[in-house]
Amino acid sequence: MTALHSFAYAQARAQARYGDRLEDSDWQRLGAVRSVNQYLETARATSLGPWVAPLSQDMDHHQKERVLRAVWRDTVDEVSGWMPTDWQEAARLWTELPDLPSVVHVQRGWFAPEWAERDDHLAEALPEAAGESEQNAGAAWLTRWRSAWANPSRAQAEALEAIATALFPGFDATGVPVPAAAYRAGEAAIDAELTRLFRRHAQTPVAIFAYLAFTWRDFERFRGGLIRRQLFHDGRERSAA
Amino acid sequence: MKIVQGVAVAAIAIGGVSLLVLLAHSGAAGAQEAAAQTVDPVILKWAFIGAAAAAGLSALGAGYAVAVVGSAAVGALAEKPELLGRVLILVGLAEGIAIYGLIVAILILNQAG
Repeated sequence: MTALHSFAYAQARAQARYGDRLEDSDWQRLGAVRSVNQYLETARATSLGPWVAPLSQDMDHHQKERVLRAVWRDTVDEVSGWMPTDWQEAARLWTELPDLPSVVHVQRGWFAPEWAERDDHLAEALPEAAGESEQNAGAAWLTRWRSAWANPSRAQAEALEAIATALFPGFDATGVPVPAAAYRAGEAAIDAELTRLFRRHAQTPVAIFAYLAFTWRDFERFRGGLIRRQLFHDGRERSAA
Repeated sequence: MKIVQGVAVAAIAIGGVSLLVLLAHSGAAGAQEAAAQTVDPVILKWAFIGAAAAAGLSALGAGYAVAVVGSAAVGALAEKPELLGRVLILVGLAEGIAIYGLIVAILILNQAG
């Protein structure tokens, strides 16, 4: 298969999944749920079902986190398999996104948390990070991602840069967190920009990475909602009991 | 897709021009040629070239189109198997490019006698 055929295949699959994405009303319905178990059951009935399937109600938050990180790696591996060989490495780098906060934690000289040592993937990655000097892990990851691009055209490179900007919306170019209000105001604009790139650059790596960026944002939203409920809502109920 | 469209349009255009040239020649020659019952070898040569170009280039265009549309179709079916019927129509449309070229080639050869 040539690159064109691979991207045609990948585009069709990404397009189908893009059509199944949760809409704002679905997220609002999910956001209105208070308990973890109800949250999981509500999510199970949506297109988030494949992410929910390996989670069970009796897992603690560390187990859920570990399973979700594995689910994300599987998701990225699947998408990278759709792409031409020379783009697969760039796509596979996206498996590392959920690990970046832990990497920063270890780079700052703190011990790897106990839960991280129970995750085979993190247990391998963190000791390597411990030897590195502290740096902006997001910026370092972006540098590696850029170097893995397989000769994109100028227009494609510009579009991929736009995706890079959308990936870390909570931080400015130097890695400093932006104020929460600015972050929230930028959310809709980021989605609009990713949608534009996804449609404008159909059958190119840009569209597939825009799709991955959508998926990453949905994944973070789902994961954040789940862990928040597990730690705060259910935790509060347990301590009240 | 632009390349596919380009090849297909070129194939049909070449075939169409050849057909028009043939029709014009046959009209102008009129009764003389009918009496002679023979076709000018130059016209015959261009008729074969036109027919070959129409059939050949349109087949190439169709092959290319089916490759791209087929890849996308397989991707779509992997996600939504219920789309099989609609996807077959799209692949058939791509394949139709070859049939248009073949029809033009047959028309040319008919005119050439």
